[in-house]
Order: sequence, then structure tokens, then C-alpha cells
Amino acid sequence: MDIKAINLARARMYQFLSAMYRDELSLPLIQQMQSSKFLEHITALQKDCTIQDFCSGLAKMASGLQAGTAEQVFSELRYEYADLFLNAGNNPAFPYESCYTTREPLVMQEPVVAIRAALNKAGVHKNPDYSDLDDHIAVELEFMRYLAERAAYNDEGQEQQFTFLRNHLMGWTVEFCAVLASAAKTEFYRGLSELTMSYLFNERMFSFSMLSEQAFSHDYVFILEQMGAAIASLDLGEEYITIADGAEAPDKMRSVNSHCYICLGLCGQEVRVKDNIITGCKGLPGDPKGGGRLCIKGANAHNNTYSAYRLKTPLIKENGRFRKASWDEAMERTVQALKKVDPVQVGFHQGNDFNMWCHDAVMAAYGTPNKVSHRQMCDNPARMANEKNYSEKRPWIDYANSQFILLFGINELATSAGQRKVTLLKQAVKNGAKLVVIDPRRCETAGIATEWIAIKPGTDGAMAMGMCYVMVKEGLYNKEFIENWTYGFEAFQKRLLGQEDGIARTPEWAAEICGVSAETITRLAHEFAAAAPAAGANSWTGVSQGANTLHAVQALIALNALMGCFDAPGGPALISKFKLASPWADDQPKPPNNAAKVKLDKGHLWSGWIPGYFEKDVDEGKLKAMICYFGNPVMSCGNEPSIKRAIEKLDFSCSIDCFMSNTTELCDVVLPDCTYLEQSRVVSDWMYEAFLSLGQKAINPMYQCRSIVSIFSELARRLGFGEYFPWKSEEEYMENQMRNQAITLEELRKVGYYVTNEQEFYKYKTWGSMNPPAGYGASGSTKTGKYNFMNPLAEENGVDGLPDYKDPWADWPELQPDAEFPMITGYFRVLEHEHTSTFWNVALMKQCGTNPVWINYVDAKNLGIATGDEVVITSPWGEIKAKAFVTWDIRQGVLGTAGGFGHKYGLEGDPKYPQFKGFNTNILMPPNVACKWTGTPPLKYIKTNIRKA
Amino acid sequence: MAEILALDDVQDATVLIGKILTKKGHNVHTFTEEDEAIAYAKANKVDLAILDIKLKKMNGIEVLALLKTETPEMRAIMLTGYPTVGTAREAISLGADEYCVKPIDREELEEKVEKVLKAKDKKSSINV
Ligand code: SF4
Repeated sequence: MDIKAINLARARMYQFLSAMYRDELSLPLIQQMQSSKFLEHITALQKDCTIQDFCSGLAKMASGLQAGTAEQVFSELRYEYADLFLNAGNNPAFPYESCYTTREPLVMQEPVVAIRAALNKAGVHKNPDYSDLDDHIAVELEFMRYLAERAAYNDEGQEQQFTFLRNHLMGWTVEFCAVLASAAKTEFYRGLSELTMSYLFNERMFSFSMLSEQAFSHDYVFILEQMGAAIASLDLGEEYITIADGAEAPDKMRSVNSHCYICLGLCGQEVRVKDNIITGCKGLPGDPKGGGRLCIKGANAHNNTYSAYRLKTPLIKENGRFRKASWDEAMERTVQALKKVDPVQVGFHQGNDFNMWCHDAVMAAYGTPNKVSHRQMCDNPARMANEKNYSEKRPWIDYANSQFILLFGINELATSAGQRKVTLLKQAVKNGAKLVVIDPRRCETAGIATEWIAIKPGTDGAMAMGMCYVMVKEGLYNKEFIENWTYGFEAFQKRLLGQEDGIARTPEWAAEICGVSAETITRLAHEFAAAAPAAGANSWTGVSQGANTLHAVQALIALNALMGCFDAPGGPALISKFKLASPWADDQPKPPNNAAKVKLDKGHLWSGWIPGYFEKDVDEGKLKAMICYFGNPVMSCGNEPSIKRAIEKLDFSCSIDCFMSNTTELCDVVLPDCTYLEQSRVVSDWMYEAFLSLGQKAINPMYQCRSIVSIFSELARRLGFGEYFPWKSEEEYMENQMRNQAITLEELRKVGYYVTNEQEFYKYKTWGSMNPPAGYGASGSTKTGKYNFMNPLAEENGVDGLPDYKDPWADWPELQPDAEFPMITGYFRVLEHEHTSTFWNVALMKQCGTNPVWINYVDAKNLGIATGDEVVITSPWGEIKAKAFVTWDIRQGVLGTAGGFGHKYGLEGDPKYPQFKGFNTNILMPPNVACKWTGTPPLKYIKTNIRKA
Repeated sequence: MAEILALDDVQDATVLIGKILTKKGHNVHTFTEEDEAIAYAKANKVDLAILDIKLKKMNGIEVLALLKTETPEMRAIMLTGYPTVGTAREAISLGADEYCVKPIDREELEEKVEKVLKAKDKKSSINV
């Protein structure tokens, strides 16, 4: 062979390898590879070839190819391709150079810049029609083909090839091949890994020979000849697939002003983008929500986008395994399944929503009444209390001016760490405000508090009632506010004083229940009253995710009402957001709401789909299909095995998500979603001021992922509602939404936010109501225009609507701790993670990659448990293993651990990273249990015992 | 300037590594015998070990495992005349930072040593 022939044979070999990795293998290609023509050359090569690894790889590939009929091999290989390269499996072989510079699962790192420069220098660029990344092995291999062909045809020097080979392919493919060999289950892909490594090694030796002008190995030339002949029998085409002609100069560095969506806190975020690669995220100066700061999650948001575990193409389950599908096929499969089922038997589960107005409208037009959002598993008791008693789900205290801050089960420093309110809270404490944190665990916020009260789980209502009693009994309350701005005070007063049922809610009564002394309760009531109106009480999931906590939230928020603190400087602020206009222009038809007015599950106050009852609803034939968007009900909505069974029993399920998860893996169709940095939305938001907040797309959707509006618009079109979802671009609906604003979308893009209303106090006095005026929104509204001690919805439904403490186990006796299961187990949120959605982000996992169980020092001593010991936690419903963390910072009788852990995919599920592993407390929960008032599962109230393993 | 240990059963190779890296200002300690290299590493500070996979009595992977138990933060570059999937898997699992294919290319060795020593963190090991 002369050098031209050698270069052409090398090019063929590169083309062949590139084709092997570029995509799943097509049926015709497998048929050609099974043909005698191809196999004969391979066999001849094996007979005489002395390069052992090459032959061994080839033999494995050939045996894989001959393992069945073409159809069987095709199916097997496409399942494996999806597992290995499309992240359908838990042990992927990331085919990107970026992942091997640090051995971390992150794409779009420095190698991409270098590859682009090399391609650019050679006068080509990555073909935009090839939806995978620039440093994909298929691109690098095809670029080598291009360079080899150029050398052959143009008689060019080989240096460029050899430099690229040395600087790129040789630098990482050894590791990639090792990972592939270890992860692959088929002989074919194991063989391919050996063949690739051996070929590239021989290429390197060839490069040495060429550069030193020595003769090259005959064995290698023999391989090239035989492989060249074998490959010639395949129809690989002549065209390049992953690269295209023309140099492309890199794009300039730019900043995109946006808002962080990781926890939905929407802190202002400046996203730095260079040549369409996000290089970092920082706080957006001046933004009302973040005040120029981001928490660790927001600062690493791009590492979610660039997690190598992203789903890249639609997937369809076949014979229990996933395979790649086109959007057309996956959408059609979904639509046909939806058409077969009665919409009243379809559940639409959305986790943290993005452009909810769109997907809600599509599902309503389709006719699904069973829509569930994050709220039920989060803090529905608080929302059902606050949204009916006044106008907002969760009032934010004006920390800057506050003198006394009382937080029940809300760990602001971890959950809202990036937000400006947390900076203000810290400053207030520094300036002398009193912060009292009520939490069985000494959380981060308790760490800076003046006082930490380690209350018994589920008894916050009793403590708050005891405090209210003191205020009412001693006449400390704000009579003017009670008189003019509240409803139901007399009834509440009667309950407090025991005139209703003979039980006065005295501090002594409360102390018996909650384990906080009567003196402390009385003192705190006095301190709160003395600081009022510059005082505020608030709560979150620490209270709401117990059982029977609606009345507890009413009791603790009543402290604000009794003292007239609402909207006072230093009190809980009344929220009013300047509403956006409709995404539909005046001349665009609005979609019909075809959802039947039926409720899947009924609670005392909340009715609708309660996913805590998922399995029961499926067993009773009430649910037959599910569309799940950006949610992970299996891990979050109740007993994990029960919800898993429920989804498995459905006729059809489709998940729209960025990652394979414990929920996604159960679905029949998986559609790849964009992260928030790849799509846009505009929101009317609030942080003392009312403002517009722009979530601005920083980069185009990666891989074959699509924005949520485009996915649901397409679903609508195929369901026959296309005319109602007509937008051609994001700009179109965002401009519609902004047509009532004083600023244009273009202007908003430059800054990222726009304050519509500055902070004001006592707004309700101007409004003449606790509800914001027309044109402004909040998340609820009070029927009376006043603060309701008596929940109007409860009153309508003829159930108890007054604040109180109710036994957590009154409705679910089996929840009551007993001698066998004396400990109460719950999860807590950590700064580094957001629910279950950040466990594919290596930067965050390196900060918090496991969840030991916190146990009080005394309990641990009694049980002979030390920090680091392996322990077994058992409940009547499940058992898990964990590592113990012994501490004084948790109340005796309580076990706690960071939530969100227990993934079967991503860093926790990947055997390559055994250091990341945790467990999900929900495995210990009883199945089919939810609060009878609000539907929230008692996620933080699980009776258990613990022992050393 | 770093303390570098180089172990290869072929003396010429160790001499070459020594020459290349000494020129770059490093202190290079070369060995052809495994036990001597191990004994040296036990008694002295080693920032980076460059280990050939094919040695006389043991293989480079075993030496790497031993050195890593002594000094987990030590960086390592493995050398091989012929990379195989098996040795690459072991080297990565033990946390070798780089994998260099022989014959030694001066520029490549210089670059890799520079990169490994400069990296903020040691490359993570992955279990394969
Ligand atoms: S608190 Fe953190 S995660 Fe939440 S929006 Fe702000 S920066 Fe993002």
C-alpha cells in the first residue's frame, strides 16, 4: 500500500469507528455487518493478525453480531446504546472528552473549546444537524477521517492529524474504552471498546513512524487492508455526518440576565456565556429577589445543564427496556395512549413547573381534571390555611425592620440561601433582633438564632395556641386590628379560653403536649407582644409535612393577626404582584377547558388528585395513565414502593424530564426536557417590592431536548387543539404577556428585572381589604377582605376551621409511635440540594453526597451507636440502612436526615462513583396515607426504631 | 519544582524521563527495581509517581496501589508500551491521573506532568 492508500484506509477505519459510536446501529447496517462479505474479511483478518487486542475486540464484535437474527441483534444493541450513551441506564459510558479531563460527569468543558479551535483551523465545524456535542467521540473520529482524507487527496502533511490524535483522542479514549468495557453488557460494545483502544494505539505508533520517517508496521498495514475491504462492504456513505465545511469563528463572551430556577426562588442570575458555552453563573446586581447573590445551587446551576447524565433524545420502553425514539414516534405513542383513555382517568403530575400556564391549558383542553402540582407534597396545610385566611400562601417577614422573628419548621438559611430576605434576616439578627427557631433539629437557621427550641415533632400547633392564649387572656392583642381587620375572633377566643370544649389552651396544657415549658411559652408570647407590630411568625414544611397540621399553621399565623403585625414594618408582608397579561393575544382563541368537574380524591378541605393515595386510586380503577412533567412522585409523594407499584400498574405513563430517575424509569415514554437555562419565561414576582423577573434562555436546547412550551404545544396539536397554541417563538407569547407593562420585553432582557411597585407598609389600609387590588395578584384571597381566624372554606364545609392543635395520629392511629417503634423519623432540606432534582450535579454532590442519619447523643449512647456506625432503621412499612451521625443538635426520640437521596440513577446510582450514596426516608412511610384535611403526606412523621447493623 | 519518582524496568526509559523532567526543574528519582522505589516513597516525599505498568516482579498497578495507600494525595502517571482495557480499568480505579503510551514522547510527557502537577485537585478515581 502506498501512503495515499494507507491514508484512505485509515480514513475508512475512522469513519467506521465514528459510525459505531455516532448513533444506535441501524437494522440495514447490522444486516450488512452480518453478511458473509463483511464477516469473511473479519475472519481472514483474525487468522493472520498479530495485533492481539485488535483481534480480540473484533472477535467479540463479530460474536455479538452473530448472536441472533439481524432483528434480535438490532434490538439488543439499541437497548444497550440507550443505556450506555443516552443515559437510559445507570452506568453510562460518557462519550465526551470533557468527562475525562476531570473524570467527572460534566460536559462542555475546556476540551470543547480546543476541539472547536482545531476544527476551525482545519476549515470545518461541528455539523449543527448532528445534535450531540463537539467533543463526542464520533466527532473526533470523523475529524480524523477528514484529516486523513485530506492528506490522501491533497498530499498534505500529516502533522495536524497527529497533533489532534495526541492532544485529543489519545488523551482520553484509553479511559473511555476502559469505562465502556466495564459498563457494556453486550459482546459487541465490549469488543468495540477493545478495538477502538487498540486501533488508536496503533495509530499513535504509526504517527511516530511517519514523523521519524521510519518504516511502519506491516501488521498494521495488514489490518488496514483487511478492515478497509470489510468496511467497503458496508454502506457508510461518503458524506460527513458530524462535521460540516467552513470555519466558524467563536462567538463573543456575553452575559445573559436571568433568574435562577433551581429552587424556584428566582434569584437574579447573571449567566456568562462564551461561544455558546455557559462558563459560570453569578448573582445579578440590584435584583430584588437575590440582591446580587446566589446560593451554591444557583452558582452551580449550569452544572445541572451540563451534567453528563442528561437525557438527550426521546426514549420508548420496549420489552422492559428503553430505546431511542424520534420525537414523532414518541409523541404519537403518547397521543394515541391518551386518546385511548378517558381523560378523567389520566393524572397530570407536575413537579416544579415552568411556564405552567401552557401545560395546564393543554391538559385542561384534553380534559384531565386530575392535575397535581408540587404543593400537596410540600406545604398544602400552610397554603390551605393562609390562602383562605388572607391572601398569600406564605408571608415573608420584613426581616430588615423586625424586632422579633419566630420561625416554626422553616430553615431559611438552607432553603432560601440565595435570597435577599436571608441576607436581611442575618443582618437583623446581627443588629439585635431576636430570632427564635422552633425545630426538633438545630438547623442552620437555629444555628444563628437567639433561641432554639427543640420541639416535639408535630406539636407546633399546641405551642402556638399556648402563646395565643397568653395574648388573649392577658389582653395583649391589638384591639383595633382585631376589630377592623379580622373575622372569627370571638370563636377563636372561646376555644383558647376553653369555653368551647372545656379545655383551655393554656401554656401548661401546651407544655404537656409539645415538651416546651409553660414558662418559655409565656415568655415568648410576652416578647412577641412587646415587639409587635415589628414581629412576625411563619412556618414551612417542618410543620406542614407532619399530620393534621392545617390548624397548627392557623394557630401560629394567628399570632401575627392577634398583634396586628401584618404589613407592619418588621411584620409579615402582604404580597401583591403586578399581574402579567395573557400569553394569548386578544385575537388568538383561548383553549377550552374540557376537564370534567370531578375530584379524584376528597379531603376535608382539599379535593382533587392526592398522590399520597396513588396506588389506591390505581387499584380502584380511578387512574389508568399519567403524564409527569419535572416531577419525581416515586421519591417524593409517599411510600416509595407503593407509588412505584402504582405507576407500574398504569396502562400508560409518560415522563418529561431532564434526567432518568426513579419515576422516569417506570414510564413507557420519556421526553427530554430542557433545563431552565435553555428556555425562557417571564414571571410577575415579589420580594417586598413587586417586580417582573425574566428567566432568559442562555443557550439553545442541548441534544434533542425541547422547551416545555414547544413540547406541550405539539402535544396539543396532535390532540386536535393546535389552533389554541399558536406561538412561533418564545418571544411571541412573552411579548403578549408583557403587553400591559410599562417596559418592553427587549428592555427587560437588558436588565433582567423591573420593579413595578416599591415596598410599602400597611397596604391593606389603602386597599381597604387584605386582598390586593385589581390588576395585582397573590396566591390566595380572603372572602371577607379581612384576616380570618375562622377558615371560611372549613366553615362552608362544616368542619373545624379554627386554629388548634390536633393529634398527628388522630386520623391515622397507626402513625402513633409505640414501644416497638418509638422514634419519629423525618427528612430535612440541605443547602446543597433541591428536593430530588440536583443529584445529577457533580458540583453539588461533591459538597453533599450522602445522608447520614442524625441521632441524639443520649439515644445513641443507650443504643450503643457511634458516629459512622452502620445502622438499620425499621418502621412497620420498611427498612433502610444508613450511617449514623451522633449529635446534640437533634431532639431525643427524633431521627433526621437530608432529603432527596436514594436515586437509582445519576451519581448515586452510577457504580463508577460509589462514594455518592444515600437513602430515602419515604421507603419507611406507610402506603396510601395523606393528611385528611389537605392531602399532604406525613413525610416528617414516620414511626421507627433504630439499631446498630 | 516537584519531587518525582520514576519506575521503569528499562533503565534507558528512566534515564530519558529523568533527563526530560530534570530539565524542567524537577527532582527526579529513578528506579528500575520495585522494592527500591517503594522503600524510597515510604521514606521520602513524592509529589508524582511515573510508573511503568510492565515491571520485573510486580506490575505498575500493584505498585500504584501500594504507594496510594501510603500517600493518597500523590499524583500518578502510568506508562505503558501497550494499553489494554484491563490495565486501564485498574489504573483509573486506583486513581492514576494520566495514562501515557510509550514510547515516551518528550512534549507529551512534559505536558502531562505539568497538567497533573498544576491541577487543583487530584483526578477522582472512578470505579470501572
Ligand atoms: S435560593 Fe439558591 S437555588 Fe434558590 S433561586 Fe436562589 S440561588 Fe437559586
